[in-house]
Amino acid sequence: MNPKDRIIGSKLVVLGSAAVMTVYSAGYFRTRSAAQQFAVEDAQRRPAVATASVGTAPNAKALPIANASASASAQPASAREPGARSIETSKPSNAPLAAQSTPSAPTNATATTATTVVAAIATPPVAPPTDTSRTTAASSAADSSAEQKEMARAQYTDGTFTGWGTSRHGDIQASVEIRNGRIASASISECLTRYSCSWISALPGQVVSRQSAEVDYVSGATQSSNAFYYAVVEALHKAK
Amino acid sequence: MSDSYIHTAGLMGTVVTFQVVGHGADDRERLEREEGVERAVEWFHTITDHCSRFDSRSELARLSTQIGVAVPVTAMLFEAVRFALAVAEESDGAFDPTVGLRMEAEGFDTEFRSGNIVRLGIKDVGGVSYRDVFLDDDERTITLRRPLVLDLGAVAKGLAIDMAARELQTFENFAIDAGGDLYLGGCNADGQPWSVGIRHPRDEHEMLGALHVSGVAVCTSGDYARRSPIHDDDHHIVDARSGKSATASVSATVVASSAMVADALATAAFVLGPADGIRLLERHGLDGLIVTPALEQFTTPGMRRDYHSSGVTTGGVS
Repeated sequence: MNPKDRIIGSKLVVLGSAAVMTVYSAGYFRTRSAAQQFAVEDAQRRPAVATASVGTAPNAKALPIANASASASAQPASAREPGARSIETSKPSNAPLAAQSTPSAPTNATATTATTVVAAIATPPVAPPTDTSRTTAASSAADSSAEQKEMARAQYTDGTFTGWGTSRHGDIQASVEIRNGRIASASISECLTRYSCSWISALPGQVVSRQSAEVDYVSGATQSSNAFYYAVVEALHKAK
Repeated sequence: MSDSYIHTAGLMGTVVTFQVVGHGADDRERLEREEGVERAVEWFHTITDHCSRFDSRSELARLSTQIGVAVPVTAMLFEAVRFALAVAEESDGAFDPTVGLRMEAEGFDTEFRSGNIVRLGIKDVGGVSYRDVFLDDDERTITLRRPLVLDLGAVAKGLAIDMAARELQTFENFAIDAGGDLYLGGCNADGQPWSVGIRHPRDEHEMLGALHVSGVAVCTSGDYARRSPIHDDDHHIVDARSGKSATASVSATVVASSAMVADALATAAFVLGPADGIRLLERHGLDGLIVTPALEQFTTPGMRRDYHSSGVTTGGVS
């Protein structure tokens, strides 16, 4: 074979390799940044972080977003307090919820969830069909009353803030408007998911009524629900 | 001999096995390899969401509903289609991703797990080919100039395997087996290159021979895997030039550093048959084996060197 032919002829191999790299980078960066985002939020949900420091706007990372409904914080995972968060893992609940995270439900192909290590916590496996709310996992060390005080003092900066949430079906941008330190309105400002955002149209209203990102799961649209949740989380971060 | 972590899942209409050898010395390592495999599995889901012909909500299906319009698409779908079209060109249309409607007509319209029939409702105007698909690289759009359905089966599965392999690369020694399309990294549990058997096209308990490989993909297209529920004589690999099942080969195996390349080229070589198929592989610096209906084996020179013709061996990969 003519050596020149061989060089020219490996076009498909070169094209294939380039395509593989492009696709991996596209998905990888999204999952990586999602993982970092989730890791940050995860650290924040840890009760040890929540202190009763008064009105510390810069440290409002201490705003334990997951504990919005203070009474829910110490509930067992099966409780169905509205507005709380479910974090199901296959390890015992005393496993650290730090950036390393724990794996999602093993081996069941249909239940396999997130693309990243940390997101395994953030997007729990398919919720039981009738459970449209989230419950908090072991935050048992938290003092609910201290958290309630923390929440009451939580103040946002006035203005409109946006944030992005990712999912394997596409990204969602949420927009929240803060007036007089409180969430006045919320909306889905960009819906880039493959599936319609009409499935989660009730969620922006919940952000306002609950004054937090703690919206329900929508059965059948859990990925979009999560993306919206994280979008609101990011937006609210900017508002502190 | 190292211990292995093995996980099996039903993905893309087939059984996929992920094996990580070693990296299990302590809890932390075992956790890491489980999570690596989870990420690998997730790539299969993601690629299915974008590239599946069997999900009317997939990005691919939505693209099919927009004729004559430049549709912005994700990098994933764009690259898969771009590669499929390049293989179509290089094989002079023997391989062609626009055969989706032909495949629906042959009854390959059933989503594997649910058993649901998914037809995208696209009018079969006949005579469509890969030339009816236009890609704009700057805008990252795809335009279907005429009604057609893209079938990315060969390309998508290979791409998923490549993504999964990248996730597992950090563990060095691993294997991915997606219904007989493989990627082998490093060594097996005995510290040897992976031993890959090539299935006998007419006797599922026999092997034609074995390869010993490391750091490559090995993909096989055969007429035995999926047969048409409508026409007894037909199987799932359509020769786009005739619109009918390809009959020049009964199986074609390709070895390449990328599973997407190996998968697509195995399909193209299968359609082209022993003479043109081997020529195509050689032109692209790839190794492979094509088996004719008479069970004669044709190989590239490199394959001849590395491939040990059988004897009966049992098992697929060891």
